[in-house]
Amino acid sequence: MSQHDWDELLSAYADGEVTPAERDAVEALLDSTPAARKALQETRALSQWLRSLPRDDAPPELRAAAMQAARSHPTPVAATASRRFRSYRREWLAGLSAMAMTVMVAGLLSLQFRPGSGPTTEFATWSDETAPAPAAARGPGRPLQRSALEALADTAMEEAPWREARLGRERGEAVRGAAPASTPAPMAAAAAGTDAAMESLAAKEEAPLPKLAELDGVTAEGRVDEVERLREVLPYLRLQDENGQVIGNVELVVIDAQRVANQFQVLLMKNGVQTVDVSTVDYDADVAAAQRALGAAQLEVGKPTSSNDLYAVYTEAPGEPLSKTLEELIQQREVLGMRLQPPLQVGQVVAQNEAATPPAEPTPGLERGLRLKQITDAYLVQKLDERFEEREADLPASALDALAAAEGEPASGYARQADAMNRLSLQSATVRNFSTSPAGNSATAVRGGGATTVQADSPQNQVFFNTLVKLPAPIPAEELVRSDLNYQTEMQQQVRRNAVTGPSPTPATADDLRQMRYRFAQSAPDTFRLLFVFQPAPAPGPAPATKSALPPGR
Amino acid sequence: MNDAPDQTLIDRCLAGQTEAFGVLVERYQHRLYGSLVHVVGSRDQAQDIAQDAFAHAFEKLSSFRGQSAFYSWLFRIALNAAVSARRKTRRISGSVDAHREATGAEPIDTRTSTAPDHAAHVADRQQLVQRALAQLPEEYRTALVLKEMDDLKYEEIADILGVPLGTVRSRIHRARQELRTRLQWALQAEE
Repeated sequence: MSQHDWDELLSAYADGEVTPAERDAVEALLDSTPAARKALQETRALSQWLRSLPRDDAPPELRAAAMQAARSHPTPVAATASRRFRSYRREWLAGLSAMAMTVMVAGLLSLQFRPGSGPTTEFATWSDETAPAPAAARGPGRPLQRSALEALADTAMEEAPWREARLGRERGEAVRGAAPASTPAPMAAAAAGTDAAMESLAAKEEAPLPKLAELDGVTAEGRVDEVERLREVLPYLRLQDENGQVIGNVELVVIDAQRVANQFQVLLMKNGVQTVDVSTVDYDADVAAAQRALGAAQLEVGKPTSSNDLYAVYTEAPGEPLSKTLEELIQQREVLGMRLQPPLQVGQVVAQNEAATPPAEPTPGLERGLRLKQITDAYLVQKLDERFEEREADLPASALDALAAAEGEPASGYARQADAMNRLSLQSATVRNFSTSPAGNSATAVRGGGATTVQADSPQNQVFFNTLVKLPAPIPAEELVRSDLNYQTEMQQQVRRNAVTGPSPTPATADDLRQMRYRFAQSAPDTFRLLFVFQPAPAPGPAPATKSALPPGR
Repeated sequence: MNDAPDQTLIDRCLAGQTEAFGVLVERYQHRLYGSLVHVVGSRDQAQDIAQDAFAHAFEKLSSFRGQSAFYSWLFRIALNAAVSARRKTRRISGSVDAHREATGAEPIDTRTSTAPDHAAHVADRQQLVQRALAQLPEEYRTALVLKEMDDLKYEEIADILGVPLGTVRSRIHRARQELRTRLQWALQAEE
């Protein structure tokens, strides 16, 4: 244990916040080390001084002012559903309870553009100083209206299947504009009552978010000059992403995109944001499969990094470690510029597995896009462990869950097998042992020559996987497409175990999983989902057609 | 009603007895305000934030699930209110003058040659400790105040701050480290 660790342990010991084993260790140290005893004595003296600081009583007018402010709001009422959420626990998550957050690595750039989709409107709203403030805007740094949303969830559970998309539209339309075509079916009638509730709450909200361009350090184009400003911007990204419908998009201009992307991952891990990786796989086989699926012309794997390549890292974590990581990255003088790009919408990404025959014709709408090669599953383990609802059926929260369950292993086993160096190495980072069928209704994990497949019930079910891929560049602006991203933590809609491993449990319905996701999103209001795109700085010479990896304002 | 448990008061308020919330305000206003003064470094700001926090707590009372203590939940709302308040005002620059203006705290001269006499009054030491506390990074200061002044457990602090337990432990330790550095001469004088 380092000196720092001992010092920290002594501090916790002074507070009585140590385990029995830690206490024994500290007391042994105290017995043998005068310096430790002195440090403990000083800590206790400091505590005493702090506790003896005078504490001001609240001024007499505070109560009256607080009550007056409270009465300006409608009298709160209990939630419509009487049931209380039970704590959701899973044995196979127990081992992961110490994990803070996870990182999803993504190679989603060059995605399919959907004409008329939200981001264009969204970005315009942010940057258009004449646009009216979103009707459903919230104060920065605050979670959305939980009482109305919770009432909706409870009501929906009681009366009708949950429909998440409508809620997302309710919240998002004010900032988003038209909903994407992939939006699920309209909300059930039970949600109609929420409209009035949300309007009422919105009307009584404090001043809506100022326009993004009005924030210090943020230009009309959404450029974020400093990490400090990013902390202010993050709430915007979270607010739009309550239902996993939108993912924030931050572009960093660097010299060596591959190296900095790797550095970024290291810093993320240092700040407690971990990647959940699945065990290694036959890289060559995957490369071959990837090349068959994607076309050698589109993705060159295993070759030296091109200085023009883009790298993307997808993160799902609270704002603090993200900001801290960016700050540290900037302190290393690696970042030449940082820009807030239009967020990505949630949708569907199709990847192909080894067994799939490449389609004779490209998937409609994706013919100009790059597909993901491999996939990595990740999720907010700690949050899931602490906040999930307890359910009768052991419902997998993700394909990884399903796969782990199918293989009879706790998901923590996969996490322990994670190889940090593999993740940091680009070539290995592009290799994962998950793949999905072309229809997206199954996921296959390949390990040690064997394979386990998780079969989804519906061909419409999507399993969301991310990978870090190397994208060929430069990509002409007109060929850049943005496809929608199916969001892993939105969960597979219907999953059941592979028949090989035994009888299938009662499959979760899409509504069940959306409810779980909704509650999870509620329980993690401080979670940001951001795609960090590392773009190499343009070489000196004629200005490139586009400065950004993604067309701005689309 | 004044002695009723928090949950009873909450239930009554949700049933329409708004005055039950007033009891909660009376019960926690001094504790909340007192801690906020040390966290934000300003009595005026602490009052505004406490007022906002109670108002928001009232508004969101139905979302209180009882999984944490009411005060923990309230303090978390107060921290969010503090963040909102900070956004509405200009970010304090790093200059000493700005810091002094914002917090009333002067930089501490820790050179031993200027250290007060060993017989410094308790009030002097309190002032020095207060200033040293005000100069801590906010995240460290908040964790330390919640521990030392609100006497909360690490788990409760983690819940309020929305960070892992290890982060709480680390922040409190680092806060103490910085305080120890700034107040080293005073600590030595106490020996």
